[in-house]
Amino acid sequence: MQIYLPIAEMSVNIFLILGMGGGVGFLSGLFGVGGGFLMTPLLIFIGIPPAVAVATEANQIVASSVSGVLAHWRRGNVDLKMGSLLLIGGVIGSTFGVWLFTILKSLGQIDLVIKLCYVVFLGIIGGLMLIESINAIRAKKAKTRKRSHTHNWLHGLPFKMRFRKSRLYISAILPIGIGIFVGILSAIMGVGGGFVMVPAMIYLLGMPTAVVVGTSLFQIIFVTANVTILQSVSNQTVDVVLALLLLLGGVIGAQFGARFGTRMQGEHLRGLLALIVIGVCIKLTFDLVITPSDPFSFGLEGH
Amino acid sequence: MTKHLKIFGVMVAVLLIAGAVQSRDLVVDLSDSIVKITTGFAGTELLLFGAKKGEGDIIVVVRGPWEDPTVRRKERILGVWVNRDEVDFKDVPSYYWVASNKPLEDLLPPETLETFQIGIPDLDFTPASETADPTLVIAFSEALKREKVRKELYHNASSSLLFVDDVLFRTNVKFPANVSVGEFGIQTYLVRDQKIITSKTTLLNVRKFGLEAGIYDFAHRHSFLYGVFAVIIACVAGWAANAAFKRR
Repeated sequence: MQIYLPIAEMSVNIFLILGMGGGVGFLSGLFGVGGGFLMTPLLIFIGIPPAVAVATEANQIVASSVSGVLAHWRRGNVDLKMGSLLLIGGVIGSTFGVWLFTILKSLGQIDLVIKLCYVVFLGIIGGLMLIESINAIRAKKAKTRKRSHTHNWLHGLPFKMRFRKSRLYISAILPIGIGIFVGILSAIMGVGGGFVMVPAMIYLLGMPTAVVVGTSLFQIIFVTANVTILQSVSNQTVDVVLALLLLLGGVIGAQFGARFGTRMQGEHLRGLLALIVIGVCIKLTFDLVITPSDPFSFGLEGH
Repeated sequence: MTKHLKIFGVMVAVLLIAGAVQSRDLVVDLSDSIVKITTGFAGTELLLFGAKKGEGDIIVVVRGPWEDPTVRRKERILGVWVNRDEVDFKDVPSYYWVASNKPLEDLLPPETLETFQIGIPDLDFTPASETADPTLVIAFSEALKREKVRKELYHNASSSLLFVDDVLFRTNVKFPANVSVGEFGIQTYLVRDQKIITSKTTLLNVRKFGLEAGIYDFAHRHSFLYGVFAVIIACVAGWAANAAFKRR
């Protein structure tokens, strides 16, 4: 069954989109990640224009983050103060990111920048996660305990604030800085940025893992909402029909994923996620490096 | 039922045309003058039919709404394929369909095909800037044509036009799902002895209808509100999903 997407201006198979939403939703429920880093490349792969894929995915992530944050909110796992600081940075970063996106699009380099960002970040994060999870599996066997966090130069920065829920006393510059950085990525890559923010919060800020996911989801809602609105205004590339279809599949998939996830060990889950991330990274690198079948690409004025 | 009505309508039109052709050389009409893009749109086919007076062959050219495409060529820089050269074209038909009852080369001399821009090889694209490198322009035009053919937006249907008898002719014009919206011009040429005897222009509109049109217009006219609306939908959907999940 075909459905015509009004903004992407193409006809797609409705079950393909639902299936993609379901599949990525399953993984995001399983691993507790947004899944934007998988969905955006998939959308581009099936022929959705990259600009539409990025903007629409931001809109879908708003929905999945709202759904996720409510569960964490009830368990009291959202640090509002930390979230708000991340949010201030996120809004600044994503606004700058959308502006950058518009310029790169007119230069004809947006596709390259999107792909390069993916390769670099997926490569780094995937590699780090893989090493970390292998170490964790080993450490668990050896029964050693890790220190929660170490003190370094980051703790010497000014404007220190107390974060009760996260049990931290750190400079406000840190979360704002992380927010700005993730906001830029969010606008350019069409991701929530959880896969960058979660490790940053754990390893850079030293936040307790329980609070990290809820707080990052809280921040992601507002950043992706900002990206959605800004992309609508400057590029008119948010396709609500596509977003709704992805969302429908994603919601169902996430439920199954979350249930399946409770039966697996955390370290194994992270290791598996690392392998998926690295797999996507290798595929994208391959696409950039091999000789394309047609070296020409086509665009329309203001499209 | 509606299909039968449509065919009946076409038959009536054909009979009227057959009568009208007594006083004119060439009469052409379409089974529909508007193509509606709705939610289920997956491309469509229109029947073009007409009648001619006397000897001669028929060529039909359908040209879609004009657009200004940019063509870029990738080059390998530090091992990675990067867009390098680019050419901006102006007033390129986004859709081009040519149909005739015999191969075009047999009907008209090359100069005439070139002048009237009949046939995909004879289409010329104008670069937006006059300083564009001519060799690049040719290579990039060819690349654009290949892409259009691949997307089924350009099509050469020579020999697909059928004569019902000496007077009546018909052909099907196919529009893929990715067709652009806007006004299309249809030129029908009556050709005799390597010359165009007469031609006739018909117009066709491709438009988004219903929900599709509403969403598109909303996104372009009130883009800020559209963005806010998209976020609200997403929030409600996320909340609903969570509520549904909690109950189980």
